[in-house]
Amino acid sequence: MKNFKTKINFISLFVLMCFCSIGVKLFQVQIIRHEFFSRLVSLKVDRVKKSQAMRGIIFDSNKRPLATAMAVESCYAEPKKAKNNINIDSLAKCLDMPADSVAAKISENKKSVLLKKYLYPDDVEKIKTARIPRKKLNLLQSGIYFEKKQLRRYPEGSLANYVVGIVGADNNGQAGVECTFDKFLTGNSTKYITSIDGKGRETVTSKMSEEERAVVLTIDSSIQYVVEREIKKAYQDTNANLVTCIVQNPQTGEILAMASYPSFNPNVEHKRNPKMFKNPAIGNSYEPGSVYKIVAAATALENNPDVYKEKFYCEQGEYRLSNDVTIHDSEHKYGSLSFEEILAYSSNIGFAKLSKSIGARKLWQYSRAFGFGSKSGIELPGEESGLLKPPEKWSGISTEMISFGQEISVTPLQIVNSYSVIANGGFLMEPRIVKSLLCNGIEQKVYEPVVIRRVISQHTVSKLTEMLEAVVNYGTGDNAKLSGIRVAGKTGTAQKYDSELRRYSAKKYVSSFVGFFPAENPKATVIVLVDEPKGEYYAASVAAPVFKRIAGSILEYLNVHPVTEIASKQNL
Amino acid sequence: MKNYRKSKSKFYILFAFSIIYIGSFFVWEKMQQKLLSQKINSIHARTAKVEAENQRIDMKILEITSLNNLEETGKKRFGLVAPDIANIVIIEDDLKK
Repeated sequence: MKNFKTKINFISLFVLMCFCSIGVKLFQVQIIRHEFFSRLVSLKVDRVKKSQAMRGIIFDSNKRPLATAMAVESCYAEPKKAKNNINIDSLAKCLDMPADSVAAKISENKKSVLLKKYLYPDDVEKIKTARIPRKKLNLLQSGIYFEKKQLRRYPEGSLANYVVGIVGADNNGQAGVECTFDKFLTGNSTKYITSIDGKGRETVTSKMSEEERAVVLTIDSSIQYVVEREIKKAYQDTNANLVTCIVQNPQTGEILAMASYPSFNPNVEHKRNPKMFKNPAIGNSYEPGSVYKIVAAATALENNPDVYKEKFYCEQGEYRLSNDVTIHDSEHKYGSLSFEEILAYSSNIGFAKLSKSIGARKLWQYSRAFGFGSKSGIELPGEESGLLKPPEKWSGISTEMISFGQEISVTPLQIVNSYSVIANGGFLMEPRIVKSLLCNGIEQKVYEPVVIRRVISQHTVSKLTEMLEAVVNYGTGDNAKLSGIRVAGKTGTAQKYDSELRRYSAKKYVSSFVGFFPAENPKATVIVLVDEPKGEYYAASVAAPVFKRIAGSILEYLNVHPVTEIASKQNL
Repeated sequence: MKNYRKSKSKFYILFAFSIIYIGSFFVWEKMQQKLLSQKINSIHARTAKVEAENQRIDMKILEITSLNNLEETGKKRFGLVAPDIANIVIIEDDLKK
């Protein structure tokens, strides 16, 4: 019995010692060498992954999306593994590709080949559930894998494409707002840790929520749509090289629409032409012609308010500036014209004579004050400053030539912004294309209207508005007249300089019309520019009717009714 | 003395069982934690898939309701025409306001 008890005690002691040794080992593993082992495990099991936030949305001023991003996946194959392990026919069927093309890609001598990009979740699911591997392998083991990507989509197609811009294959902004606000739209990438279990299943242990970013533009899709529809029609009717239009709110400097035709569809990748990414409304400069006459008129009025009463003899349509330069008043032979009439009938001779009383330096100073010869500061890439030489570099006839828009180059944006100076009471506003930046729906930055400077006095503004109304009422801008609405505007038909002939071309013209409406309380300033129209080229018959159609639609959209119609209804 | 020894061995056995129980509970709890995180993970994956599908449908809606598509549909299906400035009709209620 005693012997049995000794045995029991011995076994108990042995078991106790076993437990003790396990306890000691556990103590050593869990407490003393805890950090070492946890590091060892995390090295083998935990993976740090990077998650790129979805590219931000670009909205118009009414929060209508113009550019959004979608999560898609691209399907890749490792040819070495895939060659013998997959059923090519069923894979081709799932990818909606010809079997020959899939087979050709898989037989390439590369480490990895792209089979198809931009697959939607249900397409991926179809591939994952189809019997693609020949043996009892999973898809990854058989050499087929997926990579998450982002697909940039433009739901409105080509609407406002020059403003919105485009992204490249790597989702980096290449033009427009996509380029200017690339860093903001890309957002931050978040790092997160995943653990992988024995069966290769992934468990996310920590992940930060991603920010949703957005850029809100000042563009109004409805106005932009009307503008694009009308300039496309004008392009087809005139067979021009290019038609450009900008609509600006003169009170705030906000751009309501900015379009050029021909344009491109940002959703169609293979038809992209790199030259077309340049926004002609800010990146093309041209000699403005008669639309520039308001600068000389404003300078004259600022220096001598009584100039309004003066008369100018227009030499019956022909006037010699120097021995080899003679200027003409298109097809008209004018005699004596008032200050208002030289603008209404767009007399080059009248303005050449007016410029003599102004002087070169004053004309240059006011040209600069109106924003010519410098970038406007709009939040778009590729803006040109135009060309305005300092008066020291002007020739003997430069003052006369510049007064009617030659020997100077400007962008359409500079012209529309200078007319907004008259429309808003004399202030040069900074043109803006971005209204605000949003982060998770909350405004992170709001772009307020910026007044750059006062350019002209209220007296000059009133006189210029009257003169521009006269242009539309009885002058060259007759085709822009809207019944019941006071429209102020100016036509411009500029000869293009032919660098081969080294003189102004008699066949190539830029026809433009700039104006604002209603003149008593301007809601919009619009420029329509038709580059090299074929056949009829006078702005009065090429650009003014386009302006009229656009202005009519904008007024209707803004709920501004013709005064005469309201009056007649009230009489009823 | 005999009773003391008996109770001492009982204590050891109880102690050993408690350690085994706590150990097993710890392992079971860890397993449950893993299973749960896998479940959460699969739900996350499903949510991501549904969200992606939702995005795709939203995109389709946006494309269908795009201004260009609406105008085309209006013209082709309903024979509508783009309004002109001459077509504006002033409604009496607007005048009263």
